[in-house]
Amino acid sequence: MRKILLRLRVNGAHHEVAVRPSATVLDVVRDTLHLTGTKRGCDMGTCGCCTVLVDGRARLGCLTLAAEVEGCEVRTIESLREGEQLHPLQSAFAECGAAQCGFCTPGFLMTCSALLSRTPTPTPEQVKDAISGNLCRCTGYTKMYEAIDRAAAQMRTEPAREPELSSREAVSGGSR
Amino acid sequence: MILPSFELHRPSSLAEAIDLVRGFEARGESYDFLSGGTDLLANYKCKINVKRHVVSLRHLPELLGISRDSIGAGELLWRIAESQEIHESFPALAKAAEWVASPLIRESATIGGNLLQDTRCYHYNQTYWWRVAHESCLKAEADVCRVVPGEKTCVATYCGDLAPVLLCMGASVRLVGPDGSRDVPLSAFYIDEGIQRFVKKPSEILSEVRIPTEARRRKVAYRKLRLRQSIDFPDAGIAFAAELSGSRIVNCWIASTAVGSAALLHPDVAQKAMGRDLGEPLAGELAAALVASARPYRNTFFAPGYRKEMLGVLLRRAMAEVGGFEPAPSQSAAG
Repeated sequence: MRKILLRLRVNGAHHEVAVRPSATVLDVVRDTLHLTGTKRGCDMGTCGCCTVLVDGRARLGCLTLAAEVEGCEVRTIESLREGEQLHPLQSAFAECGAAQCGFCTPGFLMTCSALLSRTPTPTPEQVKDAISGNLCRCTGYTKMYEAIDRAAAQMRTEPAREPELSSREAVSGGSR
Repeated sequence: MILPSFELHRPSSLAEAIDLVRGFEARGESYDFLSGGTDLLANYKCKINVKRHVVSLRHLPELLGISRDSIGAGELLWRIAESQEIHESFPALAKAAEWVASPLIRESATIGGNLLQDTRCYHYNQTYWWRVAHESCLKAEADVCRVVPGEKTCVATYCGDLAPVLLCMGASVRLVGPDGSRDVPLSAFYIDEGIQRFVKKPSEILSEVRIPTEARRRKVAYRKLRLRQSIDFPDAGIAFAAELSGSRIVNCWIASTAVGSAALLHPDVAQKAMGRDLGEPLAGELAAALVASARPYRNTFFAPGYRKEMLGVLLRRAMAEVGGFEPAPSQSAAG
């Protein structure tokens, strides 16, 4: 099947990529743009590991065709921190022990960043609902609720603090 | 899983999409319509009924718009769940949309896609290699049903959440194709057969869900059973609607999902409620009648016997919500 040329905007940068028409956003960010922070989990829309932001809304990278996000702003986990400064959500996940193996973490962080940008003070119910499409098989979610609470509070009041170095990789999509 | 190859078409108007279909039909080429993609692309990844052409309906302005009279087929489920107008006029529809799968699925999935969702079965929704190792089934590569030995028609289960609610509201769907457009009441839309599924022709596009004004007079409730309270498809679902005069039922509707190959109204059961007081005694009676008439197959997570029993529980809970009374206590944790 002939490849198609797509003009995509990912993490603020413009890319021109030649891909199969059936390439998903996940295929393109990982395999073409080498942004491997976004994880391929179930690849069937169940686990939420591949969550990216499309025009600010959390979307499943595995079930969204790349051709369908032409003209949209795509954000991946790599865009969450500013330079060396981690996003408050990343700091809070590291500090609260909300990331263990770290494989699902990028998906959770993108889902949570979409939530907090729309709802700066979410209720526990809203948090629970927002992450109910992301699966974690390590932490049991309680630490995540704490981390999201802490990040929300921090984003409303003070600038982000740096967590211990050992947790930085897991919350930046560095887990394999 | 890498999606199989197909040619992608992105028309910008309904007329352009219909023109594409005319071309495929004339050349005898296979095609599918793609809306949210949460059902179709997941099936494609399992190499289920892959077509040569995929026509994206995402950019058709004709498929958008939400009002009390009509919902565009391309409207996303989260938008329907959060629509002020739908919340105020049809809260059960907003709830049903809010309860579909997970928030991430609802970001992409559309009402049209939910109504046209493919039927599901343990022997069908599997990877290609799994299916081939099990010699596949009637709905995919083989001509034998693995659920009911000897069965010549497919018994795969329809698991859409919005259809039972819309059935109870008396909604219809607008189908647009190369031969023009037509409106079909949802009550005449579904076919209780897992492969054929509905009366829509392959070349027709579901463009709009039309809601009659009388739907505003009906009090509707929806309840569903699923393994987890997020992500999973329903294993049973019941919508109940009534027009009331005080506590007396003037008219009522009961619709089910996830217990057959179609979302279906149950007029024989609903008939028993006409002119009666809406309360627990009636709910128990209707629940028993509904359970007696249900025939779920062993092709989803929960056992057929449990799903059958749960239909009664779900109906009692839905009736309790509409009637504002306490349902009889039950041991189950269904929603």
